[in-house]
Amino acid sequence: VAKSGRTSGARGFTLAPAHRHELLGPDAALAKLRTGADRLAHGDRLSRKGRTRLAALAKQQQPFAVLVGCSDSRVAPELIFGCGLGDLFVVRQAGNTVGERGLGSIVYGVEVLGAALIVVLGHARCGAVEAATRLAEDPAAFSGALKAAVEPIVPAVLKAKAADPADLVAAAVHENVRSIVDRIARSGEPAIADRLKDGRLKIIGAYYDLVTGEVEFLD
Amino acid sequence: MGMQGLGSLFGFRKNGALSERPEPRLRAPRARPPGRPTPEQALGWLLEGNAQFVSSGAPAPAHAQDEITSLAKGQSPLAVIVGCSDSRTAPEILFDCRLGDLFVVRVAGNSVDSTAMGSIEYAVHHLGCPLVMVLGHGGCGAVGAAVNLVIENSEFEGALESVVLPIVPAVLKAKAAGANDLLNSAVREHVVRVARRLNGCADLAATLTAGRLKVVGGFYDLHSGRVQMLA
Repeated sequence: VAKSGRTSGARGFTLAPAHRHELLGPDAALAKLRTGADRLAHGDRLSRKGRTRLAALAKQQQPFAVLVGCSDSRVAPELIFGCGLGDLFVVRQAGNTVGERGLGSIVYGVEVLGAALIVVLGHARCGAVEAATRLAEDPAAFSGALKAAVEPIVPAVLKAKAADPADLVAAAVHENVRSIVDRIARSGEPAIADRLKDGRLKIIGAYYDLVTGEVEFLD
Repeated sequence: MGMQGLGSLFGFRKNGALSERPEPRLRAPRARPPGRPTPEQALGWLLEGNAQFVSSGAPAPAHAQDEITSLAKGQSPLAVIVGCSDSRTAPEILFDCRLGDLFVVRVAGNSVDSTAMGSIEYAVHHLGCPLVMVLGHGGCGAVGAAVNLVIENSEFEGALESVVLPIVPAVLKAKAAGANDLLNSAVREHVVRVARRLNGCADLAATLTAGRLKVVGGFYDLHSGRVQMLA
């Protein structure tokens, strides 16, 4: 990814190379998230780790998964999956969309930090997806930066609409997650493509139900 | 801040000790400022949460099912945090917040492009957020990569380049100022630049001028756990 004049460090990065990490594989990482999501004891683990954990973490991070999620305040990944500091490398944007910088962040999490799992997490009643359903009807509904944030979701809305679903927003959220998983997998980034090919990396979509607090993995 | 009422609600004594079981020690969740908070109230509440995090006291209890269900009706977050993807900088943890408290935009190197700007505007205009905090942190890998680009001519390909390039101006400025600790000076400079960009955003101007919104910068120290405010 990076060509560096340095002989030490991970190709232009000052962090230790990922192969030194003893990280979870994709399946173990997914199992850990499933367990976290199943537990209702969300907040409980978080602040207890305290200062000693901070000192160890300050040297180096070793997240076991990259989480691509929505900015929505009710969908904080660490709280939903019962994770602590150091567990999840997180990219959040309204509507859990992934632009170039989001993709670059994911590559960083996978290649430099060695995360073995990428989860794209959509959620019920997503305001950005709702806005995209309006934008699909009326191209003048939004302008400026707001439009820029919502526009990438419109294709998923149109695709979901074609199947005439009972709940368009929920269907579009699912479709949006699927298309983002696909976009990451086919991004052409060698760090992602190579690891997907030899099984060192997995990408999976997930759906958070705001009402029940449950996460459904879209295998 | 208003802990007594909630303490009794959750069955805890005021000192945070659980009255029924000896372990684990839990405390009531922090109460949010009542009504529609001002930018200053929101900031005070965040910093109070960070102090709670640093003190490493007893944790708040898990989210109850009815807490989750009632949040499903709508969100009214107190602040937008523009932060880094770094796994050690989860804003909800650093500021001792719960579901529904923070609207969060995160990308490696906490920079803001037009879609991120759209997310922020949504939180300000549609959800009424009174505060935006741009949060950088010590030892940031993305800023470190930008430092390597400037100092050692490191090259980055593909999407990674789009993460690194927006940080380069901050590195150059920190370097020109003769910074001792170039990495962390660049982190600070980058936060200040991103905050300045938001402060100059035309779509936020009216809300900022009316005093209903404040944009601030913060620096999170990985060792101490403290968030320091930047000018």
